[in-house]
Amino acid sequence: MLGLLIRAGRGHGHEGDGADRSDDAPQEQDAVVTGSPFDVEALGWFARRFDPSLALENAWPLPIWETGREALADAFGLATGSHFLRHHRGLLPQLWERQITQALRAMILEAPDRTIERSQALMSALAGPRAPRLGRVDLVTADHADRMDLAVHYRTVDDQRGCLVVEAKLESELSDTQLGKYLTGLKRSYPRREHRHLWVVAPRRTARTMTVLRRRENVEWSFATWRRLLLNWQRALPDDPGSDVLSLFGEIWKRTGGN
Amino acid sequence: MLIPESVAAYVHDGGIRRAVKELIGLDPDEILDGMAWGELARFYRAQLAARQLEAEWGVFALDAWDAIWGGLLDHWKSLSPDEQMATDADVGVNLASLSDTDDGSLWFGRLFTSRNFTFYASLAAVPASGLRLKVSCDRNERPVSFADLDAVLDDVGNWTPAFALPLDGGEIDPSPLREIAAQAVRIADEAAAPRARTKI
Repeated sequence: MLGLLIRAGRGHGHEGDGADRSDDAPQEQDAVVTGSPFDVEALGWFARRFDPSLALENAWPLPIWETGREALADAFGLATGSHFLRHHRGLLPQLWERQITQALRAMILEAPDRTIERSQALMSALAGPRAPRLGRVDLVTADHADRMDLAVHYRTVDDQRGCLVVEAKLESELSDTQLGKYLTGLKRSYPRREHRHLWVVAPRRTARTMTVLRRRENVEWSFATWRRLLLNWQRALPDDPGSDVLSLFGEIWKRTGGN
Repeated sequence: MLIPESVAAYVHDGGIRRAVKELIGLDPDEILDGMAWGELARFYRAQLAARQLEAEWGVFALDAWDAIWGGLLDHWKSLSPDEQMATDADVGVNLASLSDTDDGSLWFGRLFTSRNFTFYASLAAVPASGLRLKVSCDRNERPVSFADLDAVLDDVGNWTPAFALPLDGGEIDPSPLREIAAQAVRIADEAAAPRARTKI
């Protein structure tokens, strides 16, 4: 079509302007009539374009919902039969930092045969592919005031001692010195850096949190949101972790700003 | 009237519902927080699904509203979308929207005026319940009662009739809700009608 328009335009110009026809004019027209590579490509370009009149007729094909459902299930780990996002919530009063970390400690220690499984899932949720493989859990603590909120002391399958620490935040902010103080204490028990996994977990990144974490003395500490931790933790747990776990995760999800 | 699969999934699956609300409600600075490169494609596909559901609810809600309330309020003045959003702060960014209510309802409503009365004719897809009406009518913040519709008053002044149309199957017949809507309009008409002065 573009070729035809070009040819019509030229023809009109020759007829309308009364200009003298130069000797090479017939050659230009011949090139169009026989079809130059440009014209073939132009016609092909138009032939490949989607017909815009379909949009005007409101005839776009509807997106397939099953694809969307699978995408949501994939992103939130909903393929598992029991997920905390599907679990009934609202039985507990509003939780505070200490209640959350103590409840998580109790959950990890609930049954001896599940302690490693749940600790490993927590480690994987935070550290991802860099998570060490745990062989034994020696101690799980959930303290308050000027002590670490949640700490899992373990031995790897290679019999290396290590610790996973979660500094849990809700509304309160990090103090200037607390992370450095924790690290000083941890270095005495775990001198090698690769044996220390240190995380600050909060509802969202705040300017204050990031300022504190950027300081040189806090370079070992990483940040995660509660909601990301919970989704990853559930993903790393077995298919049915039990209603107590689902209920606790659901409460924390809601308490930390989730829908 | 066909129920979009996305709307049915939202109403019946709490996991889908919370996931969608999470994605729709994310602040721009939270969207990619802590995400690894390998997770980004998964996130964008999920976000597309959430927007698909939001849009399909909007289209369905407009059709359902027309089938239930259409023509019943022709003698009232209809507010334009702009006027409605300027009047009712709760309407927010979208007229047909995922709500912020605790039960996670999807809702859509339109405002009408007559004399000094404002009538709110709405519907909601309520999880674990179905499609329900919500109505309110007031003059200078003096509300009209719709208790005769076997309705309960919520804390924001809307009356919700007890009847719910299940959203289980692929199709619904909205005529039972239209009958309730017609009764609601009659109650509002009666309240808004000019009172004749009694001669002594």
